[in-house]
Amino acid sequence: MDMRLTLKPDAIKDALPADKELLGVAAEAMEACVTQNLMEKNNSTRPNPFGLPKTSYYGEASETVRGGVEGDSAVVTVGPDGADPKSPGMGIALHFYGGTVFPKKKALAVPISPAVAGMWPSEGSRFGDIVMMWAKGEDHGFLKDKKTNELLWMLLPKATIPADPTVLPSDEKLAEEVESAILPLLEAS
Amino acid sequence: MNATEAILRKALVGSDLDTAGWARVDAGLRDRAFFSSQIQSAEVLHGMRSEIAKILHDGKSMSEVRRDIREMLDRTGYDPGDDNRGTIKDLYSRQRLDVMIKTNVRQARGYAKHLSSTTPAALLAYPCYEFVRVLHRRVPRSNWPQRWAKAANAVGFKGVARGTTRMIALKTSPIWTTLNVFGNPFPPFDFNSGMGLISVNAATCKEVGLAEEAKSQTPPDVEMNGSLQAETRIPDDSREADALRAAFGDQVTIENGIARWNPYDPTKTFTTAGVTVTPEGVEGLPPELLALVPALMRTKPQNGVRTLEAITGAIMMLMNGKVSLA
Repeated sequence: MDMRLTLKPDAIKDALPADKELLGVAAEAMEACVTQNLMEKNNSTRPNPFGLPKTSYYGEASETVRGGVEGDSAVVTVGPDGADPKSPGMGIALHFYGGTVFPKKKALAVPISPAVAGMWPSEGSRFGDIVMMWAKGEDHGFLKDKKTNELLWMLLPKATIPADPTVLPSDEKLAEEVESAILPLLEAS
Repeated sequence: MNATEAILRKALVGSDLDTAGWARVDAGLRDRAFFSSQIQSAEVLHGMRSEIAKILHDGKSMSEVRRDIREMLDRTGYDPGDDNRGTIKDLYSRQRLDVMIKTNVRQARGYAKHLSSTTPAALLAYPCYEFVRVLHRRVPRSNWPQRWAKAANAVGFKGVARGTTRMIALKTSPIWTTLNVFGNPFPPFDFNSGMGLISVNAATCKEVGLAEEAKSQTPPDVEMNGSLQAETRIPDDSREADALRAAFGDQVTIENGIARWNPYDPTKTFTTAGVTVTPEGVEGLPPELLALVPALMRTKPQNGVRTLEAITGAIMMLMNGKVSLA
């Protein structure tokens, strides 16, 4: 996850109290709701089509969720800590909004062998002789182990990620969580 | 304090202590150190800490970090030795690097998340944590319920929910530090563990019988909200203090009942593997290398590494036959 996604959901603004302490409660509620959502999403991921070990992408993202108060808003962020919020990047925001990923160099490399799970070619090249196979006219290629001929990475000119609104809880669910956290406190006071 | 700051503020502490040895260091002191089992070089530790911080701050991938740490180890002339090559004692191995990187990343994230989850407002609305699986594991540990029960008994069930199979406790319950092999109230709770914490709301805490105890819960008394002080309380004359001095030498100061890591100071004496480097010169080198010291002492810092670190690294490389000055 290398992008900071900041939520200031308009739909729940009416649910946000003016009181600063209660705003803090709202932020905590939003943090808990987003964290729970990402954990559930992590638990429901499908097996990797190439038989690679399941990553815990959304589980790791859940541990970067932070709620806080900024001005008169409760804000939740998901992503790297201390990073410039304006910096471009991929990550949770890409999966939520969808988009197309282009390579920084010649091609995107997707691991397709368990031997290189979680490994980029720049790391993998230390351990063996890796050669490229890309037939003319084909829209994809491969990196393979020269010695064993095992296909290690698939090479793609780009990858399109569809938008997935289930990455984050709906605004209604967020509002519900905020209200259920705040109302008992208001009733008790 | 965010996760990046939490890791960059840790003191670099080199020693030949192995994992078991570090486990015996006071948790409060250990938390404030960036270390790895049996790594003595401050340069290596500095490089590793910087790379790990890039995961937290820049979203750098694990693969890139492993690649760059290995290249850094190449530059320092690191050699795991034939007995350790390919094992978890080999700093080049993926197994070793992943344990070190993932443990530090999760601790930094866990610390930062614990800060934001234990504010007065957060404790009011979400007084408890539940211990749950957060990350997939090929072979998850199956004994967490037993470890939970043991820890709950050890703390007299203080702040711990009873009569439920759910592992829920107040955020400030001592069960968290008791359950955690690293002694932290946040994940990870063991090496390579995928277990973590989720905040639990006041209504659920009431259902599991913790509402009354939750009322007296206050934010934990730790140095959060800013300055991470690298110190903890240890009696000056204790066996623990003696053990710390023996293991860490002048990297640690213990006085008036407080132990603290000393910041690395390039103007002071720096000792590694029997070679002592001071601002005036070097002791402990074989005569043929001693003659080369004046040239080394004029070495300029490279890549921001302090002069004495660079000199020590160069000396070690010379002694290992990795480079020559010719």
